[in-house]
Amino acid sequence: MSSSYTWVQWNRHKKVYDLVLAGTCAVFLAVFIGGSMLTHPAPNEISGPIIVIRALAALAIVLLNIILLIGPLARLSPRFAPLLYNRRHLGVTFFFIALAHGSLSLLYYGGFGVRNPASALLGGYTSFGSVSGFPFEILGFLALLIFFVMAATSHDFWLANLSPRVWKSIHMGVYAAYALVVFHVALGALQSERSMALAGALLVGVAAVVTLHAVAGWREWRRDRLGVSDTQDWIDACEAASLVVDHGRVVALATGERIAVFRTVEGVVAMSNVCSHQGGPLGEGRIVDSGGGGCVTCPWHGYQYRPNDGQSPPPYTEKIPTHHVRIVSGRVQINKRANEPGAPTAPAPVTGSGSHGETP
Amino acid sequence: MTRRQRRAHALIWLVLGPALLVGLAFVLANRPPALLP
Repeated sequence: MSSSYTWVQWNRHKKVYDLVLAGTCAVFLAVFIGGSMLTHPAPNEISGPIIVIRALAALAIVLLNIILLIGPLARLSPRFAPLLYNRRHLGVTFFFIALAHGSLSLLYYGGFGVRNPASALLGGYTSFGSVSGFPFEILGFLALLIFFVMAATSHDFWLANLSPRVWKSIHMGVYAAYALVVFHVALGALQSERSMALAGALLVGVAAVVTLHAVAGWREWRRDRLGVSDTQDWIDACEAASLVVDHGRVVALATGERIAVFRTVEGVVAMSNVCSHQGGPLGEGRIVDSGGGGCVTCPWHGYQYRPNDGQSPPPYTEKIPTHHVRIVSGRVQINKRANEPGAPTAPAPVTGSGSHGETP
Repeated sequence: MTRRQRRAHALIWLVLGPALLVGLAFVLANRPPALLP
């Protein structure tokens, strides 16, 4: 979270993450290029640029699959949430690798004729009805355009200025781009590849991405379906004594809305479960000491909110709606009507074990 | 995620998932005969 904008807000976690990422990419490329040279000795050697083009393509699609797996994995288990923290750097790295693949392909395959390389590569074939002759380059080019828009707006400056809703809509374009990439590979590289290893790897990657998104979506749907009925203003959330200090719980309403309930040292508070940054599930986070007061901390990117008013500690200005809470016969009850974002609300005190602490 | 985002995700993958798998299977099954095992 930031009160002003810088290119990258470096911290130790991000530096380590980026070093590991750069190292892994370098090792992947070295192993791929070295392996290709060893397995294709003279006189059947593959030319250097083609090996590099293939290595960049392989790395790009592996990274893209990993990026797409992180979202559903984090929704299925909070253990994977730390991977989300720096997914943005992974995405931008992926874009530059894909760009290198596209640029090198354009120059290598389109650079020998008299026509402009771009027009030769993108307008040279029109066999749209053929599987083996389909102009797969166009699919890759369109995907690259989408990835460019995403990479260019992968910054909190754009998130704040476009609004989270518009920003998220733009970045959901990754799914269309993923489909374009899959068919770019299937109609391109796979049409000249005798071995089924590449096809198998692509299929496994797609199946993993589709399956994990389906399972995560089903779990969310089930959670909403089992949500608390909210025909009245006050909804029964849980046993007060079951809440652990500094930890939260997500309460799903039958309408699909979700509320985060937290137990603080002062009592029980409730706020929207949706982080104002990228919609992270606040109820899956915990209260982390921020300047002594203790703030609800989003498990995705570490955005923080004060428990009693849903407002980020100064100098930050983010706000989320709060909910009034009361405890009746040891049960936490939440008023389903949200207060204005940043509106103060009194914590409902939990007395003793919480079984008899009542607040009106 | 908001309820709207969860629904959008569900809808996207309901359409995209089968389309990707079926499309990929179709393309692989229609590779040039010389490449088929």
